[in-house]
Amino acid sequence: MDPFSDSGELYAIRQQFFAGQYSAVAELSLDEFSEPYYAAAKQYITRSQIALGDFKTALATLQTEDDLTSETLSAYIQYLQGNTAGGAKLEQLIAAHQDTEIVQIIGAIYLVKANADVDGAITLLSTSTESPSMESILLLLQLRILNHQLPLAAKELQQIKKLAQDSIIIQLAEALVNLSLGGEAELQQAYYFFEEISSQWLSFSNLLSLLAVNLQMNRLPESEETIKQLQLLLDTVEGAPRADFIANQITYALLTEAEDARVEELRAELALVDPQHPYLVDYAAKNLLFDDIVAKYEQAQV
Amino acid sequence: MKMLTKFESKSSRAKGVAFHATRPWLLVSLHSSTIQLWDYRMGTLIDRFEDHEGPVRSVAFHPSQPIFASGGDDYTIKVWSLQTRKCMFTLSGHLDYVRTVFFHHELPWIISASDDQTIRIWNWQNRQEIACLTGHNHYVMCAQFHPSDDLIVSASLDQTVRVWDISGLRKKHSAPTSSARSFEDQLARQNAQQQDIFGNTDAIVKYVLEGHDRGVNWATFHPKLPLIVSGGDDRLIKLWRMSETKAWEVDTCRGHTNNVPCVLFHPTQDLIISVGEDKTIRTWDLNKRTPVKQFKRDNDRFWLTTAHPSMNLFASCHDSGVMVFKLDRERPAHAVSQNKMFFINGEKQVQYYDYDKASTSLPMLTLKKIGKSWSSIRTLSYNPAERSILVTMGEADASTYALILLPKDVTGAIEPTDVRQGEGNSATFIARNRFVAFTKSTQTLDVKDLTNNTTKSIKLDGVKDIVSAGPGTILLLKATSVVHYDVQQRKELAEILANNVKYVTWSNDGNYVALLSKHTITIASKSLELISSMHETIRVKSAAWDDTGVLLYSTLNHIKYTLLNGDNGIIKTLENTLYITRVQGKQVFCLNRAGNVENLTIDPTEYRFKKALVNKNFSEVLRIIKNSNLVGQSIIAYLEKKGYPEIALQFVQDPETRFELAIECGNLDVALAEAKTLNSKSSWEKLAKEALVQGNYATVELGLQRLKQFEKLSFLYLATGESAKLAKMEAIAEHLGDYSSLVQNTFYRNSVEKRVQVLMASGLHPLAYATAKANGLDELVEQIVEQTGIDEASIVLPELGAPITLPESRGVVGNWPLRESSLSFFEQALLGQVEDLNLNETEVETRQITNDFESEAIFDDEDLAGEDAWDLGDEDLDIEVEEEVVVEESLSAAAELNLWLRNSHSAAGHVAAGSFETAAQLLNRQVGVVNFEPLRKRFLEVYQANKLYVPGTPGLPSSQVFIRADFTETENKNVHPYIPGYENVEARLHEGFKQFRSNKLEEAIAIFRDIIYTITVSAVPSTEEEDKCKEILTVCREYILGLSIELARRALDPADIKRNLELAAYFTKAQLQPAHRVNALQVAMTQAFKNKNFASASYFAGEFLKVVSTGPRAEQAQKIKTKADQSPYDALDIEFNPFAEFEICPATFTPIFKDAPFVSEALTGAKYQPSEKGKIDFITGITAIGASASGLRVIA
Repeated sequence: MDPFSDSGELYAIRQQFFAGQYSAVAELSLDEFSEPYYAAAKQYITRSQIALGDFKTALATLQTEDDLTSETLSAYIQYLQGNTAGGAKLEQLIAAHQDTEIVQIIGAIYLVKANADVDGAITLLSTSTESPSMESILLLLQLRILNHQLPLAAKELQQIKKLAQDSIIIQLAEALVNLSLGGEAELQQAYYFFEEISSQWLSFSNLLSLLAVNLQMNRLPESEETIKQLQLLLDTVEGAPRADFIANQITYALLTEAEDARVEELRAELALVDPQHPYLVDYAAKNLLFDDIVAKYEQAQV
Repeated sequence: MKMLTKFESKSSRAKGVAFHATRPWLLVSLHSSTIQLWDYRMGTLIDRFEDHEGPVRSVAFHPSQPIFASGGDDYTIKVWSLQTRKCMFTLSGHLDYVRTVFFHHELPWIISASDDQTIRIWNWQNRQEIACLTGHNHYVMCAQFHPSDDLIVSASLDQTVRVWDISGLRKKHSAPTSSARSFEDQLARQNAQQQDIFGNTDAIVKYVLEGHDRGVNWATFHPKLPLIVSGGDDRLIKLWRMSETKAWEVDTCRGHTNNVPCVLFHPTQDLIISVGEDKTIRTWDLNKRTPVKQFKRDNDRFWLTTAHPSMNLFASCHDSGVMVFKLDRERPAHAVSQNKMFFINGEKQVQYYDYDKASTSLPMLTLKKIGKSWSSIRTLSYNPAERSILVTMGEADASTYALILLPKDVTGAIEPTDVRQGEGNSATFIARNRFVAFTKSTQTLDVKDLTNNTTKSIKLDGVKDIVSAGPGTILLLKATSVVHYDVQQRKELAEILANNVKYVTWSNDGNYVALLSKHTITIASKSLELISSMHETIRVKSAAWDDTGVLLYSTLNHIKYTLLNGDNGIIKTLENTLYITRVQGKQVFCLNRAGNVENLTIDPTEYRFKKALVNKNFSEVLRIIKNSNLVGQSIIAYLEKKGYPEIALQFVQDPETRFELAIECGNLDVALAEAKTLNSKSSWEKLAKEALVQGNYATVELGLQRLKQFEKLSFLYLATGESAKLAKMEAIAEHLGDYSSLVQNTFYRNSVEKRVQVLMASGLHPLAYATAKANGLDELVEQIVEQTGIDEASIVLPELGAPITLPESRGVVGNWPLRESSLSFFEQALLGQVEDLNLNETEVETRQITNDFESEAIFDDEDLAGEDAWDLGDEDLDIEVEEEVVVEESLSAAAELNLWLRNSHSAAGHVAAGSFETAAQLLNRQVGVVNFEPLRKRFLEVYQANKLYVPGTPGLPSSQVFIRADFTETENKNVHPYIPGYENVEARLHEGFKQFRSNKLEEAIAIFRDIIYTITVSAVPSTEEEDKCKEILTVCREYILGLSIELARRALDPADIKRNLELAAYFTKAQLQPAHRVNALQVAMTQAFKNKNFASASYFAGEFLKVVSTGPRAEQAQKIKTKADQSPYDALDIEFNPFAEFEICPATFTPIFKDAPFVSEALTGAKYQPSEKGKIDFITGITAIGASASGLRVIA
């Protein structure tokens, strides 16, 4: 029996992991899982701990064993902690084990994070000789979107949808691609996915995506409701993508023609939370661009 | 098919039964000689009729008159009045048991069948037997009229069914009796009228139907078709067909295992229903003559069955009473999803209803071939993500579900293409790609995917039904409870005790759930905590929540509401049962039993009012009181019960009730007014008592005066220190000769002399003497002694002290409020004392705005015409200029932004796409924008307002997603970004007007400029909106111009009177709305008048009066005008001619006369003196005056 099927042992943990319920996953006890699924469960649990920033617990769990997964994840934690040795180790692993799922995934994240090397990450994920895992595909599609290769992402998605339409990973990938694609049917699909998943496996990130769809579909009252829910959730969830939330709130404020002060307040809050957030980077760039324009036409006039 | 029992009576053997046509009444005749009248809806026995001797075999209601007939073994037919509940008369003539009686549908006739082998027809109006039909040669078991034709069908133990023609009888009884018949008429009669062998023309046997092998017990016509069905002791049911000339046997239905005493056609469906002494009710397919379903009772043989004339109801009598039942539920299966409701219509077709458009779609699919024939569809669940439906049909073990994909386009009732079926009693979607099917007998819940494969199977216990409850969860309906169950985790989330819940309705926000069982409504929170529970005597049929959290529900015959706290009431009475599917404001969308949508308009005032009251939302309560005529005892009783007599007071006219309510809430003014009207002893008493409690002495006094309670009144005066009035009381008492009262008063007033006099007068000499002596009134003492003739020395008095001085009153005490009689919120509000009551303000405000809007429309039209003329002066510019803007597709940008850039013709689209350079280029060419700084905020706003960030896998940067103008757009070439601002422009305009009204001119200008910037960087879908944008730009221009002039005037050196007057005059030239222009005119008028420019003052006053003709301001203007007209010349000559055509240059504030040269500005079309060319436009602050321009384009 497929351990990931509805009644399988790993069903709930995987659902929770990909729904972004990292706290819930991190709290699970490894003892609950039987031998054949132990490794997979352990991977989800430690990765959730990493996502929550709880490196200590993650390392403690990882140190009990000595396999490739533990090695990769340990190296990744090292890197996240600012230890250059971690990065070096990861590069080494990427070179040696590029066909292994965990190396592909963590490696790709590392490449993007450390070197902004999206192309390298894409290569790593797509050159596997074996059939790629679903998570690799999820990652790959996200990278395609980041790399502005949306049509390619859509095409790849269609192919793998045939393989495993029912899996939460593919559905998540599909929803993410659809969000970027836009269009009624696409947004509806994404909406239903995020709506369903947030009512079943509520997490900050999927609720935030739901907010995005609602705004894309111009459903302002629902968006307001979602923002309220997110606000409530904010304090209870660790490691929430808070910056994105603030950025989206700015958009909401602009759409609802809120007071300028509100927008400024949010912008200041965002600068505090994540000064490197793409929103702020973009905003600053556009402001500079505007300076140029002002100057250009002033000059022309004189 | 399912038999649903609605009512059962317990009695001895029942032989006859009949439905009333309109009321929920049922007549039952018993073998024991009694006739019962039941209300089968309430389940109560209304009356009993006992005049027959021996068994009563048949009863019949008249279709429209309040009478009924009965026939029994005492050989008689009795006709009864439903009004007096008594037997009116008895029809005698039959010589043996009367088997059946029926009324004719229109003529005043009764037909009876008897064991004396005859059928008789009676006229119940003149109580005569008008025909006796002989022919059967055994007992006649049944005889009935045809529902429309002049025919009779009879069944007899002589094994035949006979059809009789009674047209002769009708003619005889409807034709004029005495007048001579015309020749043709006679001829026709002779030819048409056949005679039977006895020369009898009233009724002749038309057909004799032979086929039954034993006696025939029952025969009846089909309501529409030329068919007859009969049942006999040969256990067979036979179907016969007839034509004009002959009749023949069609088929036989075999199945009953004992005599068939009664059989009939279903009134609307192709079914035959029969009852048997084999204790069964059976239904048969009329077209195939095959059995459809049978229902068996354990011990009771059936004797008769009848159908309700208009409803889906049947009644059958058996050995121990009667049962009323219906065949199949009549609730159309339906499911609501967002703004649509999908339902199964009467033809077993799928349709949907769009609530927003209030229209029903064409049928989408026919489900006739889904499931077994005669199995109706019970439930429907809709999956919006996949556009598929899940229906369940059939009953008990034969129940199935079907998963059906809806067609993409609605073209009519087509056969479904993609159907997946399975067994289960209930099925519902629980997720986009999952549904559950529940089988009651095995208590299994199967979770299935969309290919109908089971992914999980769960064992439940004691569950009767399941309903959906949000993603991943269902409600398990058990006999005594409802459980919220998480299917994925197999976990019970919550449970609530509620008996036999059948239907469930969630509130729109998902926070509440209403659980409906037959007679109970339980309202619970989403975590199934009990909120309230109520009992309803009539069956509850359906419910839906309105937007504000009020539950509306329907019973068999009402639409009612209930608030969360259980307060409820009736909204509307229904003629036919309806199933509520949604409530939107005043609209209630229902499905009727025929599967059609009915849209009712209700008056929600009552429940909104109660809800506001319960929630203590008093301003809403007030609004409702003011705006609606809410009346009725129920509201008053409700208000009193809830402790709001002062509100109830607002609804009442009746003085008695008003008085009582006023007393209750201590409103003395109202109480007094009403007491005056009522002028009854008890009301004055109550009023005086309440007034005393409140310390309102004036009212107490009035009350006591009216009551003539002088002693109390005196005491009141004593207490309040009104000695003058006390004196009056004394006089009154004296006048009335009421000595005891008089003495009492003298005590109050301390008037000793008077008291002595009274005592003397009443012969109490010793007391009088003692009083006088004690108070040292020697003169009086002497008088008394004199009068009585007693030697003073003989009187022995105790030692007297000095005369007592009684305390003096310290003056009059006025009212002395003892109770805080502050007015309640409502009273204050109703008296208009609440100044800052938001409600009133907003009302005024909205009215203001609408006014503004109306006048604005007129004003805009004029202005547009002006602008057209203006544009022609411009040189023809290269309109294709946009094409020159090179759109570079950046590979590094998202595809979406590239699309936007490629598709956009407006600057806003370029801004949104992040291409500020091209946007700036466009604006520069279109309207000559050169100063971009003021547009910075708008640029960044437009750029950001359509971008969002979606988090992905942790560690990866978030991806950007985009908001389109129309998310339903699928064509790439039509994709545009969403640009905010336009929707709000009008509201902003009114904001500007508001600032204007409150004299905040700088702020107003800032707002109007901001509007200009918003429009400059906007994208709208069509020319209609673009025209509107341009209109608004013009409005902004005029206001900015006018206000700038006024600001300049205010900033002037006060010595510069000439310029002051000029600017004041120019201000009036700005094209403001009339209501606003008044301000300009007033300024100009007063300034001119003050500075003795009377001609101008008169002109402005005249203009002013054209707009404002009444009120203090108008009066002032009128005065100025009158005064100015006395010496109509200007002291100072200014550059202003009211009758010349000119515009004002916004930079120099000087007039540009009609034919003078000018340069213009492209964005708002302002005209400048030629000297201003090349400068920055004063109005907008962004464009260059006189720059070449192609005109603003805001269409996306």
